[in-house]
Amino acid sequence: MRYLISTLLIILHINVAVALTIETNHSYGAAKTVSDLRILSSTDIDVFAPVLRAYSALNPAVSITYSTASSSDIYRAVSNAEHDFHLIMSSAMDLQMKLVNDGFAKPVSFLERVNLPDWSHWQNKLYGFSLEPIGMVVSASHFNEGDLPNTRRELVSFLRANQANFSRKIVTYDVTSSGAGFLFATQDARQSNSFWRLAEVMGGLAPHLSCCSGAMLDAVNQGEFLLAYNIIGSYAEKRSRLQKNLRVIYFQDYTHMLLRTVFIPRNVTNTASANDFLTFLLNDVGQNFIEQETDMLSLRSDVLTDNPHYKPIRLDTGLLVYLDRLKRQRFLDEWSSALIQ
Amino acid sequence: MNKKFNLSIRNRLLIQLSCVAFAISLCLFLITRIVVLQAITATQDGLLTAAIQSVIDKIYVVENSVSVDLPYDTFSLLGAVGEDRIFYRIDDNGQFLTGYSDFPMPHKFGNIQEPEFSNVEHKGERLRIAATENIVFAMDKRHELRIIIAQSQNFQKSIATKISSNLVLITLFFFMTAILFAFLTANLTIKPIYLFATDVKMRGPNNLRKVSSDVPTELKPLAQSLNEFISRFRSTLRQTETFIAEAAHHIRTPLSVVKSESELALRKSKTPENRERLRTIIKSVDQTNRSASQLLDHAMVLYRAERPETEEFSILYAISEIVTQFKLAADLRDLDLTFSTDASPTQTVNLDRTLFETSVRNLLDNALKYALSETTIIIEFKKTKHNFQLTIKNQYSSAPFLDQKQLYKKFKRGEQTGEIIGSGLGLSIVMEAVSAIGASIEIRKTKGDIVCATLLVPY
Ligand SMILES: Nc1ncnc2c1ncn2[C@@H]1O[C@H](COP(=O)(O)OP(=O)(O)OP(=O)(O)O)[C@@H](O)[C@H]1O
Ligand SMILES: [Mg+2]
Repeated sequence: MRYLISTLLIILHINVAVALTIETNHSYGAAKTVSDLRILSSTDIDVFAPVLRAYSALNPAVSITYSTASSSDIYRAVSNAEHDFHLIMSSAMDLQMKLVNDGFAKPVSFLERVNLPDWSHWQNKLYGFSLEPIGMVVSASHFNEGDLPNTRRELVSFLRANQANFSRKIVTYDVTSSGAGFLFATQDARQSNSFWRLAEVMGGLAPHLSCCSGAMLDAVNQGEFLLAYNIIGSYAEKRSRLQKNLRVIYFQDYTHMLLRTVFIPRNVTNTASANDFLTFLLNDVGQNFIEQETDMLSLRSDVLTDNPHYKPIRLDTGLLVYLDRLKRQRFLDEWSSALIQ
Repeated sequence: MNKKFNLSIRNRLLIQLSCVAFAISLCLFLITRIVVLQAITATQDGLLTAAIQSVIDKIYVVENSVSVDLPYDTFSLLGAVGEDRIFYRIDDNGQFLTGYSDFPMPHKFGNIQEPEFSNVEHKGERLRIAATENIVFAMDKRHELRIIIAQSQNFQKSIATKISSNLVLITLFFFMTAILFAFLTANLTIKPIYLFATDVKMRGPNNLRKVSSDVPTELKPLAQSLNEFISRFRSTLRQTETFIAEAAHHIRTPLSVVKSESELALRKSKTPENRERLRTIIKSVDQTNRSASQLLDHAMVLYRAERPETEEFSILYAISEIVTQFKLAADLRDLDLTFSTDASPTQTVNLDRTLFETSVRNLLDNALKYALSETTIIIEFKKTKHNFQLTIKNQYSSAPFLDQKQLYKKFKRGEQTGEIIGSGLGLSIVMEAVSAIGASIEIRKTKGDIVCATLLVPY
């Protein structure tokens, strides 16, 4: 495999015009001053790197730059149309949906026929490429095997029964700052009323609110916190291989599945490299690779059919609703009053 | 212009009917399409109305202000079916409240039950807008809420194209069927004309029967004038025939007087010059007589050909009778006459006997006249698969024989007929008679200078 990785960890790279905070930059393939394919993504390089390496091995002449940023920064950059990326990837389905609905995407034209499930894309612009079950991570050493709750209802009773042990020991996303956390919480609220009960109970235990899944997982592994709610499965499982104290639980009442989505922004003039990459990513070769060689799940993953309680979050215009100024405010108010008591 | 004038009635009909069918198909297509498009728009409007109503349901009052809790499922549904784009905007007393602030507000608003619909082009997409005005009171303050929901028309478009392509197939089918009917109609319409034309065309040149008056009304005047023409022609013809017959008769009577007087004179005459002169006179009289009688026969045959009087008779019997009559003449010319047959006298035919006998008599007359003396004339009568066949063979000199075209011409005689009396009408009489009774004749000179005449009479 001939590939070149140059990892540049840029702590705070602020592009003045865009005000886009690039967290990391990685390059693959031929070294060129201006890359042929520039991807802006919210997905950690650790998770996505195998895909990039595989593509680069097949297309060594193509130079790729993979830049990561937070989903809200990505949204802002794209909606201001002040960036020069060929592909926009994000786990914030709602923000992606809004960008595409508002006309910031270009139609994708695949180089060959791709065979995708209907629910995985919206129009011919926004395409899901991997599935991520959203789960809960616990610090295994603090639980007896039989005590692990399998549903949210069980979790509520468990927390009520063990209030003393879990006070200040729960961590979850701060939905006011994390786009992904906001999406997970709103989908929870939409799915079931028991979410608010759980939020109340958690709120009673003075939970810690965090911005980022990495930090949450580290803390749980060290036993600083015992339970992290709404964590993307792929991160957690990857970590749990090294951090043996991590234990991922997918609830059986329902487990939402996040679609990581990608689109070609409207201002791209030469879409050839983007179309080529998307063809690779979404055809059977790319999807099989994602399923077998990465911690992500492919769109056709057996996990979906084997577990009827796994529900992909629907990629449709319903996602716009919680981005509405009033609706968002109302949700955040309710969430705050439940969790910050 | 001229070419167009020559176009057959059938093709004209076809073209005209096809044009009509095409016009009707086109109208059908356009009208159905318009109705379908209206139905599709009505469906979209219904969906938007329901959406706006469910949004209004979610309007609530907090303290002294108004807020909206957008319904997730409504928005999900609006965009799910055709993956349509959605825009919305809510204004409170003319102030932007939420939604897309850059979305232009329409001028007219409906109520909850009946939103005002309009079309607009926004961000490169054609949108259908539903606009409603709703009044809400919060702490006695009047809030005039203006709500719009706009949806792109992908779903509508995709249904419209689907239905349109089906519609194209249906219209095409309709058109094809119409063309088929046009074809049938054209053929049906043209059939009586065609039958009439073939009826007129198929009749022989001497068939002067009236054409059938069983024709469509439009053709009646034509049939009528044709029949009038035919009957006028027939009466003229009849007059001519009668005239010829009478003329021949009037010539023959005095001629026979001249002949008998001349023969008397010949017997009494002493000088060789006188005798020679008288012989020439007698010969001319014979010649004239022959011509007159053949003319008479010709007129008779023509007349009978027009309305043959069929009767059933034994064909073998009729032939042998004629052969017997010619025996004497053959003896005079030192000719042998042999007659052989395998037919039986019980076999009969049903046709005009006079015409038949006239033909046979003329053929035999020729054979006797032109055969070299002291030869044999062979007459055979057979029954073949489809016909009765009469062959008459006589020995002829090596002189050239008239070709087939000349043979049946009126007044056309062979070159070396010399002393032999004849008018040149014989074979044309045979031809007329034979075609009137549906038989056929063939005369050719075969090997050994034998002239062979074959008469075929169908059963
Ligand atoms: N059997 C025959 N043998 C030889 N020549 C013939 C024979 N029949 C007809 N012809 C030739 O055909 C010519 C036309 O015959 P057709 O019977 O029409 O006239 P014709 O015999 O001369 O006169 P008509 O029969 O009116 O007295 C004859 O002049 C003769 O030359
Ligand atoms: Mg003759």
